[in-house]
Amino acid sequence: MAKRKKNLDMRCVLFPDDVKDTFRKAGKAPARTSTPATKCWKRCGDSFLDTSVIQKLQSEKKSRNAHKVALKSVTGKRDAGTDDPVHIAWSSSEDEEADNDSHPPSRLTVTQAPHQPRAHKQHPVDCYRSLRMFSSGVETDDLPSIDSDSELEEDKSASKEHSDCINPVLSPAEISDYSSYDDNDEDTEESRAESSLLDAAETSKQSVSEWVRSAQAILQTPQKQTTKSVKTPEDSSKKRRRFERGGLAERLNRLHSRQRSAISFWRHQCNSTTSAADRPGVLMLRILGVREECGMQAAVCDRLPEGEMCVALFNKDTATQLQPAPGDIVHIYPPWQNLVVEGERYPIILNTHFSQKVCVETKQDNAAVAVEKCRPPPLTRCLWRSGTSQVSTEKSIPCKQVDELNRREVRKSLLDAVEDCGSSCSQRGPVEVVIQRVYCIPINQFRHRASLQHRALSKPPESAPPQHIGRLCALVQDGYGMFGEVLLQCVSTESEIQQNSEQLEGRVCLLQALRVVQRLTRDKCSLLFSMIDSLWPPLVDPKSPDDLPQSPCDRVPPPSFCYRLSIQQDHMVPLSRQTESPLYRPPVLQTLREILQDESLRCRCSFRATVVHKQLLSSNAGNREMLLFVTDPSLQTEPNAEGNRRTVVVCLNPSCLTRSSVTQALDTLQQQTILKFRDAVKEHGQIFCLDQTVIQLEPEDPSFSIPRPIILDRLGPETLPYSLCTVTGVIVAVDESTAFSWPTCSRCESCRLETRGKLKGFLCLECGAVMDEATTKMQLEVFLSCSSLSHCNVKVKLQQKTIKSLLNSTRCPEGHSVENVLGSEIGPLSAFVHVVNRSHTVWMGLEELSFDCAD
Amino acid sequence: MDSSLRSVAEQLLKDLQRTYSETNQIPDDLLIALRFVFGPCALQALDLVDQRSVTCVSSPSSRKAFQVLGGSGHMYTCFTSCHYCPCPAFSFSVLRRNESLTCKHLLAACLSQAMGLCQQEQVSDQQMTHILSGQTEAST
Repeated sequence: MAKRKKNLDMRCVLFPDDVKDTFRKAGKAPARTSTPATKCWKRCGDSFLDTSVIQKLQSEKKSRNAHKVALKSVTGKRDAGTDDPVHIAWSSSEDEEADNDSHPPSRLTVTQAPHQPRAHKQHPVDCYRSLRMFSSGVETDDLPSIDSDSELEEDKSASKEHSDCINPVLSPAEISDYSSYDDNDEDTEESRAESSLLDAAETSKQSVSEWVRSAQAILQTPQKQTTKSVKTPEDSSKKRRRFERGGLAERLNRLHSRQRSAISFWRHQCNSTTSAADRPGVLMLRILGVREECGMQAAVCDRLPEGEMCVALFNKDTATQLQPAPGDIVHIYPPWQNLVVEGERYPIILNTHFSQKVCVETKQDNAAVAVEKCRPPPLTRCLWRSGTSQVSTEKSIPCKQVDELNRREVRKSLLDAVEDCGSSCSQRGPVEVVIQRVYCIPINQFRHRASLQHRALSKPPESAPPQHIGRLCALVQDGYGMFGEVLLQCVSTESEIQQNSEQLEGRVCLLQALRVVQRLTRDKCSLLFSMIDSLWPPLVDPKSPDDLPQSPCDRVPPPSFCYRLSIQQDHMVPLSRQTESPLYRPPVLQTLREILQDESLRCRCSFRATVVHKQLLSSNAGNREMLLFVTDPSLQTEPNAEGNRRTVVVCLNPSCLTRSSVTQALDTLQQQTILKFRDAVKEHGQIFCLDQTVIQLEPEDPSFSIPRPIILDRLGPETLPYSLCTVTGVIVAVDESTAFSWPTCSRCESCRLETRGKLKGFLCLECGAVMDEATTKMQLEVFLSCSSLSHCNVKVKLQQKTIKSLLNSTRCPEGHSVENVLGSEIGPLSAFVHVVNRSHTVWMGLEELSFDCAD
Repeated sequence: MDSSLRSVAEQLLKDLQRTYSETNQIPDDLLIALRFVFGPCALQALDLVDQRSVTCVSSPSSRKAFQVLGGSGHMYTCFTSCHYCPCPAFSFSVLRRNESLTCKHLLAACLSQAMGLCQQEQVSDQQMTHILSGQTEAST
């Protein structure tokens, strides 16, 4: 079937009158009064347009077959007798049709085609010209080369879209150049061809021009190829076959082809339409200076509605057409790209193909203004340096010339910016936000998060080199009340965290070149939303989308979704104008008493406290939580009454990055150390330090003084496990199975001692000390009966000091005996409640702690 | 006056690395921007990257070089410390006529590094000496 239709195409070209009948069916009345030959051509043209054969013509296979057949016929029928090349070309159909080979179109005039045809239906002259195209140069000997070209042609053309048919109908060499969209071949012919053939595009005679071109490719001598021999060596690779399917090159080829078509189409449209309306997205620039860089022209411009300066890059083609000069006003239509380059003062405008000069400075001389050429970049600097990963160097965040930014260009809505950008960078103006909180997520936790989101990541996350300790994050809010979590750069030192937090928190910033990582909802990410709830309602009434004053904030519920975004290091720029935005809600410090009295199920709280004791909970490997027992003056200075808690336990999760200063303070546990906890989570009466919590070491503060010794809660029937308490009681029993003593070195307390043989005393293997008497350490666990608890078994593991004093007070010559110990009263002791068993009788396991506490 | 086109190119490569490491693909606008800035060699360079033509050759003395298999089958060696490629296109377009920032081999090497798509090859120090002195290829 396909073959048949192909032959139909072939047949259309023949002029015999008996062919006319077949085409009458097409329903086009011949409307021209020119010579019969041309009339035939036109009719053929018509029929092409109307029948569905046109569509088939686009298919690769068909056209290739057509050419093959045509070429075969050419070589075979060279001596067919007529000097009409067209006839020869299409005589192939005669082989298959076996009819109408007896009407040589001798009425056709054979002339050379001096210039490009217009495949235009309406003008008889044009058709005649297209005729002429066919006629030139059939006396060619290098058909094989044409073959390869044309085949290449068809391969390429077949994969393109319709709009590609506006290519100029040039010699094969030129066609091949153009269709690979090679900018190197910037000949005037090309631009000429472009302009002349845009009519073809406009009137959408695509099929005809394609047909003409394909036929032309067979027949015309590729004479012009010789002029193209001076190609840059890299062009030789152009004659390549297809790109890898699904690869980047194929994609770029497709995109670029589309772009080129769009550009040609647009240029033509520009010529015909009068002026550019002030459409959104159109960049209006006034050129201040032009310089040439590596084949492109860079114009330093002013953005016209009194905006900031920028540098617009024009490629050779655009620059030739535009001829930018200082003083000109240029309109750049979308799509253009705005790139903020690190180290450059002004943003760079790329993809400026759709540029138009609006008004021209009158030049004194007619000669073109010489454009200053830039020094070529030095060879000693590579384009890609492998150190340029996201390793951040310690430097302050630069405040760029944001004051120059046009306020109108800055957007206020985060949601708009997010909707604009999708997975690629936002290319419009920057977004203004307030940074509410800055915190740091430890890097292994972050990787866990990241891997959950991007399941497509096949390679291991190498992006974080081992020296990174965390990734900075900022919780931002825009003027409409919308929140976002922005992932900033990875940090490797704590001073960076400190510096960034100080510089960013509370400030109004501009976010440029955002990337959306994820959309977060309340049920999936409840932690972050507890943070958001604590910042709701905003201090300043949020604007409604249409900028009307909204109803009071307390009636507006907090948002149920937000976006997680990522941004490059220097693209979050604090505005230098204000120090703190009115929208900023700093964490409100409360006393522990207030926090405990808060009835809400879950909230965020911030407080200052002193750590009394810390306990490591070792669960899974590496995921160790730490319990901190904290207190503050509000709890300590309360009068003794039922229900008053003296200490609060804070659970420190590994997802909360603790700085080394804090870790050190926790290790030594000095009495005066004050820690500030920001945005800890209080849930069901317990306090947790999670992702967004920040713990800071506070300087010594005499006003925050806790009277020593620290008061703890008394052990009572309601005591919970993992709490601190004081206990007083009478020893009722001793756990003899766990009671033992062992010698230790008096110097280093090591257990590795050796007797010295005949000599008295011991030798320490650890430190080499020699001692006459070793220090004896003992372990003793006793059962107490406490007055505050009845029907409770309380077992306490005692500390050395207590054991010693106990045994000393009950010394008897035979050594230590259980009976002597029983009945002694001990306490008050500070103890940590390990376990509380309430199965049938209450059983509590305690461990005595040694720190300063009340007697 | 210094060229800012170079910094634009460097920034694009950095953006490329970031995007690729986060999402494992390159968005269309970045591709178009590459084509705009680097010119026609961008397409050819991407083709080389698709075919994984760039090999990072390293030696025990921790020296590195990049070998790019060009379209014609010729192997070109590019270095990590300078912006140079021995191909004739580089000499012509970049050095002589200053019409282009780079050639397709160099650009392919940069792109492959940015996206982590280089093939890795270990060679002895002696072979590395050969390569660095511009003699034969490392391996066939």
